[in-house]
Amino acid sequence: MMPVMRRPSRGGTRAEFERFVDDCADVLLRTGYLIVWDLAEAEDLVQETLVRVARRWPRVRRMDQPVAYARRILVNLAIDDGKRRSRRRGELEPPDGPLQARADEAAARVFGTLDARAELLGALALLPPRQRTVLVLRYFEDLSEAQTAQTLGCSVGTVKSTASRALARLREALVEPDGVSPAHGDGHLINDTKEPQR
Amino acid sequence: MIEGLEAELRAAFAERAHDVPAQVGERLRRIDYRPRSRALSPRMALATGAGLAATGGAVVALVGLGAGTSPAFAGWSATPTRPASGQTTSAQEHCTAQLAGALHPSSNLPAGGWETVLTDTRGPFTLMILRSGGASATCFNGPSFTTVAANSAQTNGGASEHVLSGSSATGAARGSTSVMGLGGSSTGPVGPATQSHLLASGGEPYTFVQGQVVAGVTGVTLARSDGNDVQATVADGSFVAWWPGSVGATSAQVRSSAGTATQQLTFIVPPAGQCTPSPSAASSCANGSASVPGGGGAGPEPEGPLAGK
Repeated sequence: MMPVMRRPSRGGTRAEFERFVDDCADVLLRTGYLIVWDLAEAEDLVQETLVRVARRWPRVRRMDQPVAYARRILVNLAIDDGKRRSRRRGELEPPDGPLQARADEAAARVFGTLDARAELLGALALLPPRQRTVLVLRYFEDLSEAQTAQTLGCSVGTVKSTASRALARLREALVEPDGVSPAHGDGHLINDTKEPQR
Repeated sequence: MIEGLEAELRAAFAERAHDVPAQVGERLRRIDYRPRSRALSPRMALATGAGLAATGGAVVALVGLGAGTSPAFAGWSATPTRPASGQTTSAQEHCTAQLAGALHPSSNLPAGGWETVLTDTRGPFTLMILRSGGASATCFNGPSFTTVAANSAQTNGGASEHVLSGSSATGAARGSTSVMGLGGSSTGPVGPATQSHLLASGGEPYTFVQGQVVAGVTGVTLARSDGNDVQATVADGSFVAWWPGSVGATSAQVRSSAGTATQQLTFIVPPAGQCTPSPSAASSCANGSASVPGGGGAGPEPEGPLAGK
């Protein structure tokens, strides 16, 4: 998903940075949005990310993949932000379940059963920030496990286990009490973990 | 099979990502991030790091502004931005309310009838030129402040300057104003203009340029002495631009249907008694200044936006 940045030449620092922003702002915004699940928060995070990149631009511009550096800043900011918001949400919500889930239930009562895509999005919204981040990097950004690990600053094993837990939580959320997934009526939605197709 | 969920995840992410409005990305691209042009020397980097560590919680605020930008002006853009929903209306309400609420009998300023002739928005900041009869006002509105300066026409044909109000972050600014093109001496497309170096109440410097352009001019970009450009807002023969810091403008690139021309800008400090031009017709004279009790808490000062010195 991310554009591959050419190694910048010397000179024209400001113009280079502006090209970098032109190339990357949208995809960073979408990635941030999917991680924090809130557009205004995502916009703030991307702005903060680009400010930080700008401050280090003389060094960043010499990197092979400046965008990978920007993505790493964004992801770390987003996870920290997500944790803060999760804590706030935890303080505000009763122990019987997240507000979003209850809103979905209410919507389902009014409009009938939510469609499978909405169910999946609802389940994604409830994942812990780090788990959702791994899924975004793997299935939206199409990063390999190694690239995801590098972005998150963790081991490949941690990426695998985090993805596995995230997928398991999605499976639990999607499979209805009778064992049939609303997304796939055959009930075989998730049975294994496997590297995304590259 | 896991492939089913993978495909569903990809589709779900793509669908949700598609919801992101294009204008949000545009907003992000319009921000001036001020990329650093040189790496810090090791000694400087060390000192900066130590300073950041010592300041703790202040780090985020400073980082968010880019190098050399005051926290008071976070979100400023070198290119005028499209106003957020309600931004212009809100700024206008604040401005006209301060104009109406801070009037003094001696000011000769009209109580109402203020019409906006030019609006410049840069991120959360709105700068407006308003006019009512022969009087004009410049209003600077930000997230936590509104500062208004007004000129009223005098019976003797001159004008007087009134800094009506200033509150909170930028307060009643003080500084110096220099001028160019006095008495119609300008030979280029940029006519009479003023450049004011001002200080916010927190001590943060900012620079404010306004002036007139000949008919047919569609765009003005000011080149500053530090090599950076600031695009002005142009409307009805007037232009206006401002930026954080005290770096001055040295030239203007002027666009019209005939093409693009560059004009050198030479601002000089006018002698006492000399009137300074205003893009909204009125002018202010250094020795004709009068201040009006302010409505915003910061003390009224004869030196402020548009004030001669």
